[in-house]
Amino acid sequence: MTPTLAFSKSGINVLTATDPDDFVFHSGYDSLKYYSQGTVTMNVNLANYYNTFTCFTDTIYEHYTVSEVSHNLGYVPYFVGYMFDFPSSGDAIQLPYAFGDACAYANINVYATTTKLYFAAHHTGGNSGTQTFKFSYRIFRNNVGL
Amino acid sequence: MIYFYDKKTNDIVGTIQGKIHNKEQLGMWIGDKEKIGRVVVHWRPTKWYTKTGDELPKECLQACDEQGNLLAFSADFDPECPKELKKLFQEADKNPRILSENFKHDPQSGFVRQKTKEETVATKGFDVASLGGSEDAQNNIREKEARLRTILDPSQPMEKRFETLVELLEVRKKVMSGG
Repeated sequence: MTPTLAFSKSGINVLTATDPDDFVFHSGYDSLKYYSQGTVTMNVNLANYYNTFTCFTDTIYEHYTVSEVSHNLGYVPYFVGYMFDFPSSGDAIQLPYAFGDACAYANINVYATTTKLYFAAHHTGGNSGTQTFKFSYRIFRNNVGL
Repeated sequence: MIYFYDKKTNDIVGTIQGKIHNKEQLGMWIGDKEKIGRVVVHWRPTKWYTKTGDELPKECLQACDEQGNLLAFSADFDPECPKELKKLFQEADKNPRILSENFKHDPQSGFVRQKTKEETVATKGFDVASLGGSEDAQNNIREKEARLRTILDPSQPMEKRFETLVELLEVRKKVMSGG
């Protein structure tokens, strides 16, 4: 018999419980292992657009920017990325985010390789000034086996 | 805590949270090492406590109980930085975004300085207006977002959510038919 370490929820007998939801920890089930967390601020120079198109009478500028975080784990880890203050100030959404309409679009992604985590912002906008994207990431040690 | 800054503009471009970092985290970087610099804000313990929460004098740190376990169980940490920045880094430990929003790296002190008013307004966040297009198009997006929020908000009466859904579908129908 494999030795097991388990903690049940309050009021539940750890020796007889069988439902995984009745445990706060059970060595028989895999769990997330924390690796690192932090923030990324992406400053987009809007003068550096890569394309323009005309929508009705407006000129629309297209931007593509990538920010990276090196994790050096040697495999694609389990990760999550968040974007702040969208659609309203104080909000946080989990990436990816996609929006599209006749004259405007935004496609904000987070993806990983065996060495890095990338935040990619592909969107329309103006052609002057600086735009700031506020991201946050959580990287876990778990190898998702990709 | 580790923060990263653009060597050219001194903008803070990211952080790695935490008071104590292992070798792997110290090997992490945000962006290109050539263009992005790094500052490791070290934290040192200032007060030590026993398991029961009693303060343990520094000279008793090596003291053990009858079973041979160290008495020191937890500690308060302070960032190693100029005195006037201590409160900032303590706050940034909980909410690191305040660093990039309100501060820049200061090469003179080796830490951070408050952004000037001009530096603060020079950047704008990502919102509907920033996607471009006419004022009408932006207002359409805002109205659509507001309707979607009402539809998805469980605290709204079901009748209102349903009416909003019908409104949204009517607008969509009009757009699709070119009206």
